[in-house]
Amino acid sequence: MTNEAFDDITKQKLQDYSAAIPDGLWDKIRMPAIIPPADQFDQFVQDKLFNYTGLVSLELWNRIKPEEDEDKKYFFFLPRAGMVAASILLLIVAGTVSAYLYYQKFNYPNNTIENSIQINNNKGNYQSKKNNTTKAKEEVQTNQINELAITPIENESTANSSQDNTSSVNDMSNSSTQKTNITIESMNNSSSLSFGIPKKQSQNIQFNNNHSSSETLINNSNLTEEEFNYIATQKFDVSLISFQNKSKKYISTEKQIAYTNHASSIKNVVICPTDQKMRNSDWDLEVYASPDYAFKTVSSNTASQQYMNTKDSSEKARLGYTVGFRIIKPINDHLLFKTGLQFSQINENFVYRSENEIKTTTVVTIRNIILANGNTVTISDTSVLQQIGFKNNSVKNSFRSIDIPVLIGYQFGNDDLRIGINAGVIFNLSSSFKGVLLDSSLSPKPFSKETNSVYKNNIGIGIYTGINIAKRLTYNTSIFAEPYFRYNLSNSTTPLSTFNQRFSIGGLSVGLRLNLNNR
Amino acid sequence: MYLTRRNINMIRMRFFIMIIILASFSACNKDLSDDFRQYPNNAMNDTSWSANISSNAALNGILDSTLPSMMIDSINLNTADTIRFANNVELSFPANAVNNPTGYTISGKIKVEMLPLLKKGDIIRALQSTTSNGALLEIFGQVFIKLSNNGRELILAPSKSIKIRIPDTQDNPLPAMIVFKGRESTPPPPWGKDTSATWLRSNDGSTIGTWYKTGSGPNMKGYEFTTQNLRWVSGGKFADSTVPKNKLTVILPPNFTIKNTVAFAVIENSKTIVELKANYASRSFEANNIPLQKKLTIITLTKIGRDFYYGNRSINDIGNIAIYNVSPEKRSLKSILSELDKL
Repeated sequence: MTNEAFDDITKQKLQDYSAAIPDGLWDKIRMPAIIPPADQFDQFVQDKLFNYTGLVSLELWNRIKPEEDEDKKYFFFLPRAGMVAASILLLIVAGTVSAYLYYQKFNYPNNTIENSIQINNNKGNYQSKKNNTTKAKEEVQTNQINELAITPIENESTANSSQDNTSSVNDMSNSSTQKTNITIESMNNSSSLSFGIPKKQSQNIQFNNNHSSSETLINNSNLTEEEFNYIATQKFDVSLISFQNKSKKYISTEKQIAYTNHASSIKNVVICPTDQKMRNSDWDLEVYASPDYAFKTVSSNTASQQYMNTKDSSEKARLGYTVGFRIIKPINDHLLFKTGLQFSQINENFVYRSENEIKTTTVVTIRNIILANGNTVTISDTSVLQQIGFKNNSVKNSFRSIDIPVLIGYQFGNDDLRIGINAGVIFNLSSSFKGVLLDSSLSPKPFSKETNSVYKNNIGIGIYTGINIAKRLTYNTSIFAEPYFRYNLSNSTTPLSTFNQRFSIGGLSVGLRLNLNNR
Repeated sequence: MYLTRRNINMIRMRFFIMIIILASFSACNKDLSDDFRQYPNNAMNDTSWSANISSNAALNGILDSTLPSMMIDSINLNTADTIRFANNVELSFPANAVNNPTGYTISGKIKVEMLPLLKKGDIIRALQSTTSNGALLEIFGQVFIKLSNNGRELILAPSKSIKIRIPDTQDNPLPAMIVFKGRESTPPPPWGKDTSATWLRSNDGSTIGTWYKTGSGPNMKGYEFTTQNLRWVSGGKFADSTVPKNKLTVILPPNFTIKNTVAFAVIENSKTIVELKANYASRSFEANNIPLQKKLTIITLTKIGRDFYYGNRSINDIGNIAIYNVSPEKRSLKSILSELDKL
């Protein structure tokens, strides 16, 4: 019987079969899940190690997160001197920023006063603002605050501010007819003081007290005599109250002068950010190498045209190079002063054909010699083979120089990428020449620094200009590329030479800029 | 994104290494390069050998430069006359002793050219040897005599003899000398070396005697022989054939070939000069019958282009395996002739 046949029989027999569910079957089904017994070993380990703590070696952490350790080295693993320098620098920067922000805040109230007055002036008559409720609040640390904060000026002007928009004094005088309520929220001398002036609106003046750094809000309004006396008993500055009561004027310009005088004392001890910007204490070192290509300008002095033509066809410029270093002193964030020392070598190929050249080659010849007795011996003879022909000689002429660049650079950009322009002069210290040159008979003649009478030993001054592109690699290391052009102002040949020759050099310096401050 | 410190240090290190390598490269850079090209048809670059020497081979050019100058004079054939050349060489003609090539007697004045080769160096300069079909001769001198009239070379009349007196360079003439005549190619080459030339004993009744000159001037001793032959005439004797001999082989560098080089073995204490013939198969120069236990000097003369090369090697005894290499040097012709004059 196959499986299919068995299935068919079963289906036919049981298709319509039904039976009652026995009692308790559903209860058995609903029995709670059987919880397997806990592993005793696991339980034992858990009990022993659950609260266990142990030291983790640094090496283990190095294995787990080595990159983070590398990153930490940038600051925390600096040398001691570097950390000190970095800390000092950090303090300078922090102090400078704080002073800068403080200075900015110090100037800010002046603007607020002026703006507030201006707004009120534009509004015209203060009488139209009766329904406005203004609360003046002044927080003071000592009672001397009023002595140094406001200097009253007698001004009996009663001009209507609606007709004179240029004076805040007049604005205040206009409010002298308004009823003013003064509410002392706290009578403690060291606490804050508030002047409540309900339903009276004159002018809001907000300023910062430089000594306490607290914020003072004065609602200038008319005071009753009781209110004045009360304030006087609380040792407030009577002059202020008297001023407010008598002249009912508030001289905001004088207030500005007071603040300015106060701020000047701060500026004497803190370097403001703008000053700091002008003083860059960095020293940088540039180390660079450059492939160079020399452009030659040649003219005849006493040489024949044939000589010039032969010289021109014999000489071909080759790639030279420059290596050197420059010390950089940033004047500010944009201007740089650079100087250093560099070695340059201009190369050119001197090609000429020499005739009747003998080429000597050692050869081994093997000969079978028949001796007198008839025997044959094989003789291996080492001898010299000479061949005659011509040579196409290629000689490398080298023009070497040691120079001092003196450059001024201007750079801009962000910390990550900076672009700059360098320009200046290059002073030649020494020049030497080695190679082959045509003599008057158009024959190649070797020359060196000792035997040279054609080229100068010092080519003088050259003009330098280049465009510098620097990409920061780390906090104190940048890589830079600088395409440049150098134009020599004088000939490299002596006046006695039959021709005049001057080199101009173009190149691409590539190097590293290292910060010497060891940050 | 900033690089890690390790990468930065690597970049720094590579940069400085690059600068150092650049500087080193500059210091060690080879300044001179050359591209050598052979001249295609230059004689020096021809190192090939041939079985035979062509008429225009450089070898023949050697003779033009090294052959001693002919002594030239004239004689009247109508009467007997004697010509006295420099170096005390005398040539005596009987009357009517000269015919033209067709056999008719010539009368009147004719041109006489004479070249005496009395020293070893002179013989080598004329590219002559002292062998008779390979047998070595010990000679006292060689003479070349040429008679001509209007550019036509003349011959001696039958049964007519001329008398030649030449001084002995050793001033000690030896007895029992015989006359040898030079056998040349037929016709002899108009220019250059006759590679087939050899010496044969003259059987025409020629005799050699000694000659003493006294009286005015310095006393002198020499040889006087009569001969019926013109052109090459020599007097001497065969070398001792009983002494042990061997074959001498000389190997030269590849530039020195059959086309441009002649080689000689010069036996010391004897006016015996053996030309080493070129062997095409072994690219060498060789000669048989070289006596053992005798000092000799190997001399090579080469002309390549316009340049002369001189090879010289002295050997006390060639030994049983007589194979020697010689390295010729480039020398001036004057220097070479001076060296030959010392032999």
